[in-house]
Amino acid sequence: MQFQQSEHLFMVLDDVPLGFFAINRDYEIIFWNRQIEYWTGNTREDMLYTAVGDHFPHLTQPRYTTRLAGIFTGGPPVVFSSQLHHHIIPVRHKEDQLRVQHTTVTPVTIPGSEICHALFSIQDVTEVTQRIKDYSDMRNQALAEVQERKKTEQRLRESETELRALFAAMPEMILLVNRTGVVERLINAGEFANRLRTDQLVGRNTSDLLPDHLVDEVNTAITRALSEHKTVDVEYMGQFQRGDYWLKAAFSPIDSDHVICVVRNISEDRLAQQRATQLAIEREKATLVGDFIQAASHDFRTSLSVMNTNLYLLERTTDSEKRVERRARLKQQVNHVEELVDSLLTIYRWETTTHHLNPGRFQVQSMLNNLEIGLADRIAAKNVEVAFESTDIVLPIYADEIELTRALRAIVENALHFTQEGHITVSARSDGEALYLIVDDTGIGIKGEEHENIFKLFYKVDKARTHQVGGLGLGLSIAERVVKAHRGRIELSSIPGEGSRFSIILPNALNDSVMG
Amino acid sequence: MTQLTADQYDTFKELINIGVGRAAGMLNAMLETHVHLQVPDVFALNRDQLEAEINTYGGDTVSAVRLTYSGAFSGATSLIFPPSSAAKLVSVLTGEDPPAEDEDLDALRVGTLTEVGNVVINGVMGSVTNVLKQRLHYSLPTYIDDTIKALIALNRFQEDATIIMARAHFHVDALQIDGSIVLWFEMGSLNTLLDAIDKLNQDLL
Repeated sequence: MQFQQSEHLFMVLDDVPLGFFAINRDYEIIFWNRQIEYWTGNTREDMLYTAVGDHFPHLTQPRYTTRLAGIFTGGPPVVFSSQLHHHIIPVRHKEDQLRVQHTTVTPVTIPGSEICHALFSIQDVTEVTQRIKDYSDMRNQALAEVQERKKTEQRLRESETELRALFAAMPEMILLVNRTGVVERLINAGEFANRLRTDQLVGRNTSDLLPDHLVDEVNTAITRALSEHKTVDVEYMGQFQRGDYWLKAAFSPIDSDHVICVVRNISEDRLAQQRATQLAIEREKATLVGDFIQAASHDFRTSLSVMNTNLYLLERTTDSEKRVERRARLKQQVNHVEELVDSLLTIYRWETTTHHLNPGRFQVQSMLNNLEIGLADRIAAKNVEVAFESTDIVLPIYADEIELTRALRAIVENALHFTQEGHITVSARSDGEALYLIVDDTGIGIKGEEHENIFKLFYKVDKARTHQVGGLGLGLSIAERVVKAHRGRIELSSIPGEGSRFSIILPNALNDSVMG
Repeated sequence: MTQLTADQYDTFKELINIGVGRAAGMLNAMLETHVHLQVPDVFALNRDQLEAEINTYGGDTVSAVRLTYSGAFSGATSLIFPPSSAAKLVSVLTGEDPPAEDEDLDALRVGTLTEVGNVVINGVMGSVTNVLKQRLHYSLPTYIDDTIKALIALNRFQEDATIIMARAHFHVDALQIDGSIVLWFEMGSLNTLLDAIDKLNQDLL
């Protein structure tokens, strides 16, 4: 009778979208609503008046029974939350999942009776639980990302601090410059800090900061670095109050519109290089002077020795033929000494004073003829054929005949020195504007790296060999000075072992404007 | 404001301790984590004193589980936590990560805290009703996240009503979480309870 009353009492709960069931103090099911029928598939007819423990044994465990005990005496409601219990009635939701339930148990008294039953109201929170879990996962992932970002930021800050310390210790100035030359950032003023303040640089164009002659170079370097996508190195020289300075700048593209410019003051390096170069020149000069004194002494001593010998023999011989021969040898040595002295005086004049030419008009062929006659003895002493070719230049040229002859003679004598067999050709020609005096030989030739040096004062290519052939190494130096004074130049082409060609080129030698 | 005698204080403290002791037993039966509950102090306060006490938690709001009852004896019993403590308690009981400092408890955590409050409050109310030997009508336990002023305003009592507050210490693993058990009594209900307590004390003598 009571069961029927209670069943009737709970019938209204069939229409509520929550799971409801009720048990009496004997743990028998006395109500089972439609929703819970739907969830479990167990019909009310099957469940009513059966022991709840037969279906759901966990509900008879102390963790539930101690909580539910007060319900049957009209005590306060009992809550079984979804997180601590997951479910009161196991109900399949998906394949391997059970519905998550939040359950409240309230005492229900049968009207007119002191007996209390326990009414379980079950709320399906599966969807809510899943959504909260999804949200929690998302939040945890976001928090993890935030933590990772913070760590990364911290690492970046540490790296930045280290880099700043590194930059501060570097002598280089580092600039971020855009395509138009505007300084967008100054990372390290380096040793330039005393000279240029950061706020004086940032935001300004390099054209406002640099001397005019450097603006184009800097802009070109920026453009090249950006267009060629590579680092462009440039060196600049300028002047400050303290003196000359040299800067080395490297422009490296970092994107399509910006370059990093690393500027280093290399003045000390350059000054050191200059001092080293100067020192080397001084040493070379000292060596050359030493070589020259040695060579000159040798030449003078040799000539004097020959002269002494011939003079001694001349005094002791009565043979007229031998006396003529001795006198000729004496004369030859006197000429040689005169030439040596003449060379020394000539180079002394060219080196110590502004030498003035004494130009005039003369025939090239005449000059060649005179030179051939002047060199006849020397040519005769060599086993080399020397040809002075006739020239078709009929108009007189305008030059200092004595000096130009001296220059050409020096070149021919140089050819004679270094040509042991074969032939030497001396020729003159014109292309209508310039006069070409050309000396070809089949001598030992000159290596390419020696071409610049052979015109230096006292320079000898092969000292051992040139001692044998004699001479002070002044001839080509004098020749070059003479030709330069005529605003001309000497060109050299040579193949070692095959021969050389020296070309004296006098532009406009056929008119009067050749002199300086 | 009703003044409590020393015996009444002691009896109140004992009743509440018995209740929370039973609650701790239930929680330990439910959970894998061992929970130890202590009620070292019981105070009789007026509403201003209660507000000042709860404000010592710091923060603007509290998290509370509240159960009202009526009948021969009417009022409400609440378990109150600072929100951060509530979140910690739920997290340590469920083994989940605690929510962020400024994040409210989600519906699932609210359900969990409601159950914990339900267990504690039911334990205390079980002790009280044992003394009263009266059956009461109870509401469903509800979760409230609001200011202490708003929480006080939910109760109907006289200006100088006496409120019983017990400090409750939850020890879960190495964590200690402090809350308060507050018993609010409607007009005359405290006297009814005190009479019953006096009678109990006399019977024990």
